[in-house]
Amino acid sequence: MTEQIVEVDVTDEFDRPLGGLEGMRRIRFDRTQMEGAAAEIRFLPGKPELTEADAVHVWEGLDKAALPIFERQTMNVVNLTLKPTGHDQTHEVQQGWVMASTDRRTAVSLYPSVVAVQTANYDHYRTSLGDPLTRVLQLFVEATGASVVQRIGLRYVNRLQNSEAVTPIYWSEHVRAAFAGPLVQGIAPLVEALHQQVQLRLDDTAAARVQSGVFREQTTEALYSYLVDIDVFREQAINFDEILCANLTRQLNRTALALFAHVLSDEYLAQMGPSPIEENS
Amino acid sequence: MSLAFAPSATALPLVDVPAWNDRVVRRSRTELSPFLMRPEIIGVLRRWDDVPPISEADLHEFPEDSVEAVAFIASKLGVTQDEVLNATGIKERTYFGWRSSGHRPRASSQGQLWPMVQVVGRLSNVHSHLQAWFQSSQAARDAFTAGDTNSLIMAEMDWALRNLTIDKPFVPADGDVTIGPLSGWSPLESEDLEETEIGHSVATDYGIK
Repeated sequence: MTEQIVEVDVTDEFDRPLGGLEGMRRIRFDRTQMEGAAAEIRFLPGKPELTEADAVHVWEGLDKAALPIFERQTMNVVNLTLKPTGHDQTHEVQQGWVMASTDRRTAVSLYPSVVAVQTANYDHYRTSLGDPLTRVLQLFVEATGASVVQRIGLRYVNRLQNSEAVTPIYWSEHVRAAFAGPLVQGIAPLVEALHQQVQLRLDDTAAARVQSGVFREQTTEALYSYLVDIDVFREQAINFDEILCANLTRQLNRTALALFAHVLSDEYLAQMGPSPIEENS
Repeated sequence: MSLAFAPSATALPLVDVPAWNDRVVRRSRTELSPFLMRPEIIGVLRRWDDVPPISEADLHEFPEDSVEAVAFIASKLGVTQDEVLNATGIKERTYFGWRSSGHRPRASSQGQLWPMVQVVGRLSNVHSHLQAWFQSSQAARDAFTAGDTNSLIMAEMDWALRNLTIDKPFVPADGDVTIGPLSGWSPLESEDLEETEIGHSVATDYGIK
């Protein structure tokens, strides 16, 4: 990795990526296409239903001008009941509410056991996900009395495009060998599409799923893009504490960034225009 | 979503291919709203995940008791509770006894209920729209009404043979080979067949409706 990108900028333990991954400076990439980013907290439900009054309480505490759309929504939720010996997993349908921007590219979703902040207009972690999530969590806990967090997750979907990528093999020079797989093998010229999923264990309760691969764009001319889908999460029952939640989520963000750097080559990361983020921005 | 370049899986009719997805250890995932991202990216992620959508109907999963079993068959086939009771030979009074008392029913009182659950469950894995097939097949409805699980399975196999495009079995030039279950079977002429594409279904629900 280049010196500029990998300089570790640790201010506390939560700025250190999980799993012993190499940390990166606080940076944003100027030339990447973030398709979507989500921060999601799952609770042991404080109430079986989330009433409209509860949802309005949250909505009124947020910037209603920025999130003028208020709608009912249904979600299939995977619930984990954590036990000392493992966890049970069940599916259920939850009725909830969504508050969204006019273009629907930023949304806050509320369900009896789930709070999520999602955006396709990602700038950097604190302003796009971290601060909004902290505010929503405060209001949600006030309204529902939820007190036990079961899962914290962060997910980023990045689409890397280049007009020169007219064959999948283009990406062999820009993706690290571990993730390029067949693109750096003898069968590389035959590859039409590629998908790899890697599940990582980061510690006893934290894990990550990295999906990456090449797909053909829906254009007349052949054009192949590279998609990187990183889901970093912690499955652990903890009493809700807004500072602890904020710190654990920040730690997942630092981990996701470190994983992103493990997928792409140093040269490509440098091409994406990393620029430092000021401490308080 | 239909994409011209999307490769389709090579079909293996009449072969019980393992459901590999069931064997993958899956941990929970952070959901992303499909409304957030561009449709082409949603399409790619769905193909990558390659998991069937979770719908409310799926939440019934496999029934755990006799009352659930009746509801399971009714919902999968799109028939009434009474039709299920008649088909499986369960007396209405017996059924309501199960519901009101919660007692574990005797095996002898459950008629063809559980064999029918097995068959319907199996069929629902084969047909993406089981109700559409069932309601359009007189043979299937007759078999069900008669509580004849074997004939119901045969109706499905007959439909598959007539409708799914199957390559002729490969036979070496010397003809000295045993083909096994396909021996003696010859496909219908193509002009008699309705064109049907076989492929895996793409999830249509990405978590949030």
